[in-house]
Amino acid sequence: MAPLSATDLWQRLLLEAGEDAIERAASVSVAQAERELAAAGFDVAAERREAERRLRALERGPSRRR
Amino acid sequence: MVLSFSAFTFVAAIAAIVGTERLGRPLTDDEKQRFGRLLREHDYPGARLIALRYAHQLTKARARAQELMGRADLRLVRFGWDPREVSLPSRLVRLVWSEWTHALGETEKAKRAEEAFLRQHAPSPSARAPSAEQAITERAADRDAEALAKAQLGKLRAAFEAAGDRTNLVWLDAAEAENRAPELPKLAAESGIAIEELRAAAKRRKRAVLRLLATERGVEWTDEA
Repeated sequence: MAPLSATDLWQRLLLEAGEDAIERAASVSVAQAERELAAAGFDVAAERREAERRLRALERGPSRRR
Repeated sequence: MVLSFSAFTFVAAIAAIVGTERLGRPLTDDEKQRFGRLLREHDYPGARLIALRYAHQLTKARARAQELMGRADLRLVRFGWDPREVSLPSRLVRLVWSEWTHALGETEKAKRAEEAFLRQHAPSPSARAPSAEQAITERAADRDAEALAKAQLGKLRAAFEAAGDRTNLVWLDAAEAENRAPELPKLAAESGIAIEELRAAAKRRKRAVLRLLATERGVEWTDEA
């Protein structure tokens, strides 16, 4: 078998490094995220509006009929 | 039963939101409505706040976090989401991480595998092989990725050397020499390093990778990310 490629090894290290942090980050509540974002100076209401805008853009964006 | 290309992608789209990249076309009106409905059912605005918080942890700057989150949003549409596999917050947080690291995520690997599968099951022999242009592009991308990865591994090695982290240097040597990540019991036996130290080194290795990524992006690294 060929040696592990540098790409595969680096990707493995990235996944290994990110896994714990990803799990921790994904497990926080929405309320906690809102509190921390507000404390960091984010306009949480504006971020919610941005999410709604993106949803509407997805639903109304360019498409192809089946 | 052999499914045609369109039937295969249609069946896949029923099970999950496949994404435009894998479909190879924009979403139909029905698919867009279904994707939007699914995201609303799973509180996309709330999940996005969780992912944005993580983007801010990584970037330490509001504008950069919003820009990173925007790219993760685009990736969601490109690569889709299967709610049976992972929650929406977890999917969005992974996309943030993937965008931040420019990792070749599992979805892209899956896409290549799927493209190969679809080519193998194409109705005509000519469609079963990648086009010459496609093959050249894929080879060039592979070479670029390999060169970048070698450079990153070189930086990681330098960080281990600077820190006097002999254990991780031994691990890295073994990983580069073998065709897989070294098994700790085998590495412990061969190197004489205690397995507890190898496990402790794995934690240092994760932090070293995170620190390297942060430094490259001009971000002060902290343990919280």
